[in-house]
Amino acid sequence: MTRYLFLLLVPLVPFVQTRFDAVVGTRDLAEGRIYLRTASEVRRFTPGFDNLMADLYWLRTVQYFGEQRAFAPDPHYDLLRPLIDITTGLDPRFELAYRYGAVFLSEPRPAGAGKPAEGIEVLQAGARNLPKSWRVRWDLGSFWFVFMRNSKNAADVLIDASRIEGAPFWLESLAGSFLMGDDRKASRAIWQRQYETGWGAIRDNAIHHIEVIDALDARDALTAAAARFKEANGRFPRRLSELVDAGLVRAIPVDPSGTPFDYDPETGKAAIARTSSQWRSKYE
Amino acid sequence: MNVSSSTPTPALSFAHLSKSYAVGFLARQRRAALTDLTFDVARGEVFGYLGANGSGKTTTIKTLMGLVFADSGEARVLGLPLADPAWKARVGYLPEQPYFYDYLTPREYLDYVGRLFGLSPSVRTERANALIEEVGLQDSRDVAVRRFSKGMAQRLGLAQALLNDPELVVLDEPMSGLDPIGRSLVRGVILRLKREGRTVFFSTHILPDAETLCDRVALLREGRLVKVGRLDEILERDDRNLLEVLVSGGDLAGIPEASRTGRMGERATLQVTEPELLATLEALKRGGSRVLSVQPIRQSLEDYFMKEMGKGGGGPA
Amino acid sequence: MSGLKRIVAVAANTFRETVRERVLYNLVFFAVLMTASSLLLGNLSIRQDEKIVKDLGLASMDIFGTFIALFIGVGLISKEIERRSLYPLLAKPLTRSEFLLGKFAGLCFTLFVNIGLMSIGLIVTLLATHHRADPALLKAIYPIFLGLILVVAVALFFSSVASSSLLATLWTIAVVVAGRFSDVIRNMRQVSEVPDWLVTALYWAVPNFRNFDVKNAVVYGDPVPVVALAWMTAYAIVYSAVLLGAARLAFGSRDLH
Repeated sequence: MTRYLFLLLVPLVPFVQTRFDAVVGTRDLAEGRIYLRTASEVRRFTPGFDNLMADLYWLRTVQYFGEQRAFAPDPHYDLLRPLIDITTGLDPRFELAYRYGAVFLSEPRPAGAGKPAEGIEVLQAGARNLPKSWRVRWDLGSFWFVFMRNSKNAADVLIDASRIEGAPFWLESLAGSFLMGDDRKASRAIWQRQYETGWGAIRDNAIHHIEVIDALDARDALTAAAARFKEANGRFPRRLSELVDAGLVRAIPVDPSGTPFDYDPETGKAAIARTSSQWRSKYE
Repeated sequence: MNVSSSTPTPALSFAHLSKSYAVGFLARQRRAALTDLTFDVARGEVFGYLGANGSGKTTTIKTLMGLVFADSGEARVLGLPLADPAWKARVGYLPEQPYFYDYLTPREYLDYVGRLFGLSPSVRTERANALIEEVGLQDSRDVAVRRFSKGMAQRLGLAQALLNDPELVVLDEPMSGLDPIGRSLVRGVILRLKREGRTVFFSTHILPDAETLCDRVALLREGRLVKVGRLDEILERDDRNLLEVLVSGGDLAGIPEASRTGRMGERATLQVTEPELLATLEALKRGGSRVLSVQPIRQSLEDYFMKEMGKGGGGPA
Repeated sequence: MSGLKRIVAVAANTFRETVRERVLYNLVFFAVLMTASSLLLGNLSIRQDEKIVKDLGLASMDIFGTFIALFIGVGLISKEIERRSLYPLLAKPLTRSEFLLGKFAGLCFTLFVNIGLMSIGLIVTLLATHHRADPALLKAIYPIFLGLILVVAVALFFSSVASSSLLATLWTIAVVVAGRFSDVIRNMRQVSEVPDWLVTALYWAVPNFRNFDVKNAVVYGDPVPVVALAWMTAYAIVYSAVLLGAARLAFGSRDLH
C-alpha cells in the first residue's frame, strides 16, 4: 500500500538529526551569547520585572552549565560567571543562586568549572548582600578550606557566621578544627554538615565528597597495612591479597564507587584507581 | 443479472450498500445510517430520492461522492466502481447547504473548479459565464461570496455542479433554502438536463418538487429502501383519479349531492372522477356557475409517504 | 501531470485565501516595528543598534511566521471540513492527497512571500540606518523558512487527524513549543532521573525546531557551515514528508460528516 510508504522515512528522522548534531552539535555550546552584560542593562529593558528576570536568568544559568558540562567537547564556562552575576544583580537576595552558582564555578572539572576563586567571589558578594545568611558564609568558609586550602580565612568566616541569629552551634567548633590542622577530619566534618543542612545538588555534592574522603581513608589504611606487612616480612606484599592472608585486613577493600584500589608492590602504596569516580588528580 | 452488452450500464447502481456511523463517547457504538441499499438509476432519467430528514439521503450521496466510506456493499457510478477516479470528470455534485469560500467571487470560484476539472482557460470562462447567466447570478458575478444569501449560494452550487458538462448530476436537496423563483429556476435546469439526455439524481424531502419532476423515485426510511418505482406506478395503484372543481355562483342543483364537498359563500368545491368531469362541467354551465379551477387530486406523494411511513410518521420534519 | 495542475490550483487558491484574509497585514506591523525599533534602540544602545535591528528583524520573522504557519495551517483542513467547503471539491477529479499537498504548498508559498517581504523590510531598515545589508543574513532567514515549513506540516497533520480545529490548534501549539525546547529535552539526560532511552526517544520524536535557530550565530558573524544548512534542509524535508504521509493516511480514510 503506497499510503504506508512514508513509514520508511521515519527512521531517517533520527538519522538526520544525529548527523546534524554531529556537524553542528557544538555550535551554540561553543559560545553562547548574552545580550545584556550586566543586571542594570537587563533592568532597563524589563522595568518592573527584576525578580522574574532573575528567575529567567537563573534558569538560563543552569541550562548553560548543564549544557557545557554535558555536551561541550572542551567546556570553558565563560558565560557562567556573568550569568550568575546578572541573576544575583537582578535579585540580590537570591541565596540559591549564590550557593549553587559557587558550586558550579568551584568544583574541579569535570564536575564543575574549576574556578574556585570566582566561586569564592560569588559567595563573598552573597555574604555582602545577605547579612543575615549564615548559610552563605558557611559555604564561603567551606570553600575557602576545601578549594583554596586556606584554613585561616575559613575559620574567620565561620566564626563570623556563628554570630548570626539562628546559626547552628557547630559552626564555631568546626572553625576550631580548621585551625587544628587535620585537613581530612575537618573536610569530613564540613561535608557531613553540608549533607545535613543541604538539599538537592548541594547534598549530592556532599555525598560525593564524603565518598572521596572514605576512599582516601581506605587507601591510607591499605598503605599502612602494607607497611606493617613489610615490618613483619621484610618486603611489601606482591599483591593486596597477601594482606588478607597475613590477617592484616579482613578483605580487600574497594572504594565507594566499587572500584578496586591500584597497588604498587615496589613502593607499597595503594592508590585510588583512575577509572574510579572518586579519582581526582590532586589526591595523587 | 442478464445485462447484455447492448444495454447501457445504469447511471448509478447500488448493491447491498451499508454504512454505519460511530456514535457515543469514544465511538464505541455504531448507528446504522444505511442498510442493504440496492437499486439502479437508469441513464437519462430524473430520479427522486425521497425521505424524511435523517433517513440517510445525504449519507447515500456522500458515499457516492467519496466523502464517507461504505461499510459493505458497493456502488457504481456510470458503470465504474467508486474508487475509480475516471467517473469524477463526468459527474456534477451539489452538496446539501453548500458553502463556498467567502473570499471568492462566483467567477473566481467557478474558475477554480474549472481548473480542478482540467478545463482550458477559454472553456472555463465561457462555461462560467453561461452558467452564471443560467442560475441568475449575473448581477453578483464579481461580489464576494461572503455577502451571498443562502439562495444565492445554492445557485452558485448548481453552477459549479454543471461546470464540467456532466452526464450525471447528483443534487442533494437542491430546492431547500430557495424562494419560489429559485425553485422554478432549479426545476428549469433539471428539465433542461433531462431534455439533453442527462441523468439527474436528486434528494428532497419536499414532495411536490419530486412529483412534478421525477420519472422514478426511491423512498428511503431509516436507512432502508421502502420502494422504488415509476411515480404513476406508485401513486395510481388504486387508480380512481379525483379532480377538484372550484366554482362560483350559479345553481348547483344539477350536481349530485355526493360530489359537493364544500361551500364558502358564493364558492363551492366539487370532487368528481375523471370520467364524470365532462358531464359535471356541462351541468355547471347549464346552472350558470363560473368554473374557477380544475385540479387533479392525485394521491399525492405526501399521502403515499404518510401511508408508507406508517403510524410513526416521517420522523422529525 | 494533471494531478500536479490540480495541486497547483489548490495551492494558488490557498495563497489567495491568505492574502484575502489579510494575513499579510502583519507585514505592516512588521514595518512599523522595524522603523520604531531602529529609531528608538539606535539611540538607546550605543554601537549596538545594528545588532538589535538584526535581532529584532530575525526574531519577528520567526515569531510572525510561526504564528501564521500555526494558526492558518491548523485551519487548512479542519476548517474546510467544518464548513464543508471541500465537499464539492472532492467530488471533482481531485484526490484527497492532492488536496493536502496543494494546501501545504499554498501556505508554504504564503510564508515564502511573507518572509521575502520581511527580508526586504529588514534590509531597507539596515540601509536606512547606514548599515550594510549583510548577505549572511540569508543564512539565518533560510533556516527560519525551513522551520516554518515544518510547523505547517505539523499543523496540517493535526488538522487532518483532529476532530475539531480547536483540538488541532492545541496539539500543534504543544508540539511546536516542545520542539522549540528540544535542547532542554536533550539536557534532561544529564539532569533528571528520566531513563536515557526515553530522553533520546523524545528528543528524536519531537520535531526539533532548535535545528533551525542560527539567528545568534549569524548576527555575531559566526560561520554557518554549508553542511549544517544541508543537513537541516534534509531534516525539514524528511520530517515534513513523514508528517504529510501520516496526514494522508489519516485523512484519506476519514469520513467527512
